[in-house]
Amino acid sequence: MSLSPHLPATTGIGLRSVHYRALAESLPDIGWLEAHSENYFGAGGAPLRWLSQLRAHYPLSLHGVGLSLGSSDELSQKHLAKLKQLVDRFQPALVSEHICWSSINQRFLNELLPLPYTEEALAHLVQRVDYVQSYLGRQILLENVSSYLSFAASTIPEWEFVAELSRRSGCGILLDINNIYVNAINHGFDAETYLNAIPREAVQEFHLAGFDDSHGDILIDTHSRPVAEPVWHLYAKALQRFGAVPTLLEWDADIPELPELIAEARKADSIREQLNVLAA
Amino acid sequence: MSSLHELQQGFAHAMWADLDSFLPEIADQDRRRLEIYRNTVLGTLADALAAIYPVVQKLVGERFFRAMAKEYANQCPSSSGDLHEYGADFAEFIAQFPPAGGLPYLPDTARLEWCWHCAFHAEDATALPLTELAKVPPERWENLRFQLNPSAALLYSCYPVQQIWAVNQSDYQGEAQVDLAQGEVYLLILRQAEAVIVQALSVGSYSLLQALQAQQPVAAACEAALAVEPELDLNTCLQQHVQQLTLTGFSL
Repeated sequence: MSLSPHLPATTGIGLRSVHYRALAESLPDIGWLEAHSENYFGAGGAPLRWLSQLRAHYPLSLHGVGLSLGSSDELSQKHLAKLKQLVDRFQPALVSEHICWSSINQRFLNELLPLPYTEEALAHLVQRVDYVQSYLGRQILLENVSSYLSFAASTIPEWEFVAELSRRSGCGILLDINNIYVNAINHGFDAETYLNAIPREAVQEFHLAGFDDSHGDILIDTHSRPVAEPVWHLYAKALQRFGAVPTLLEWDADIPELPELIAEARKADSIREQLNVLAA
Repeated sequence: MSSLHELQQGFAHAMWADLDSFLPEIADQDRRRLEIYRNTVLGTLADALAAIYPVVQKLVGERFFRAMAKEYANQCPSSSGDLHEYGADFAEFIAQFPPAGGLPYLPDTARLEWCWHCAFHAEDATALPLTELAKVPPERWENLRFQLNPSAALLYSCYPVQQIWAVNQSDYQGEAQVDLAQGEVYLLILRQAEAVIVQALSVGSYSLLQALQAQQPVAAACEAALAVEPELDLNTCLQQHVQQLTLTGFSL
């Protein structure tokens, strides 16, 4: 089986430990897998063995949640070293992280916290992305996060911040369609304005997931539900603008059985097929 | 100091201490928005602890566990972006947490679960190279030092924590009552291939492995074992721990 260095422009699923066995036994027809890098930072044992077994059958993307790129703390050399070791071993098609911070004064909040969208934060992030890209010897993708507040200090619209980060650092963009929708509701902006501000050539991956709408007018990005109807709608718009981009269906809490997860991923494939868009 | 740094520091202070102090920094000064973050931060940390300490959670119930996890998050900061490293000193925290004082075996149960967690993620090991060992001339045997499997951990408890741990596994069938008067246990936690085992040892075997783990030469380790268990069959004991991959390397 060929291990293409590129992800196919189809839908992949997030690799979660509850599905290891079912995936390895049934080898379902899915485009690719995305693993959370930190889940494979251990020295040995079952997680790395499963990843290596599944890697032999599927293209892989490594998605980090703990580097705290936007923090004003120093980057953790230990974290970077483990990430590099993983990247060298598994040769993923894509490596991604988030436009966020998650620690300050060496204390971790272990949450994808939004940055103030300022020139200062942008310059800081550009410099950090530069560092990580040269450390890993490859391009990384940065993902837009969902957020429940915005800072009074912000001076740049989020979409301009994301676009400018990519232009200045040369990083790719992992565009989370659900997060754009969640933020559009939470902060009252137009999701299509956001899409249209993002440079076409920078987007190399989409994320889709389900949110929790039981908190009144603030949507919570829980990855615990099927993808919401308006997000499918926005996804179709994104396909029209960016072409067929590898798309990931994420599900991290109340995770369904594998067939249900795959069925949800298939919806993304069928929307793409109906629109008949070409690969980006 | 940069304003990014100040903002991040102020946000963290709001999360851990004083939520209202940060209200002027957020766009519509809606307190709920900060509360959502506080809940998700504490929720993520509690989930990470619950994943590592399922038996502790079962013993105290989810509500108590969540409250304990919240207090732990406040007192023992997370120091890594990798949540698998979070919770290393949870047992010590529990031992000092007055509301848990009624369950004296809880800290050792937590220690056992932390050993299990570390063993699960430890480096893979291969069997001790017996043909190499056979080449060591007999006059040098007493100076041999053995290396333990990277997953191996030794745990002593004055409570029957192996039994407590076993009856609280989801696949356990049988008598669920544990008699605390069963007394002390000497345990070895070890991963064989991908399965983590929790094995009860005799006091002599435990002392032997403890001395070997401290890099004492085999002669001194045997002496330490016989001092606490004169009738211990050292040959059988060493063979067993070579066969089951407790001992995976040696040096002279």
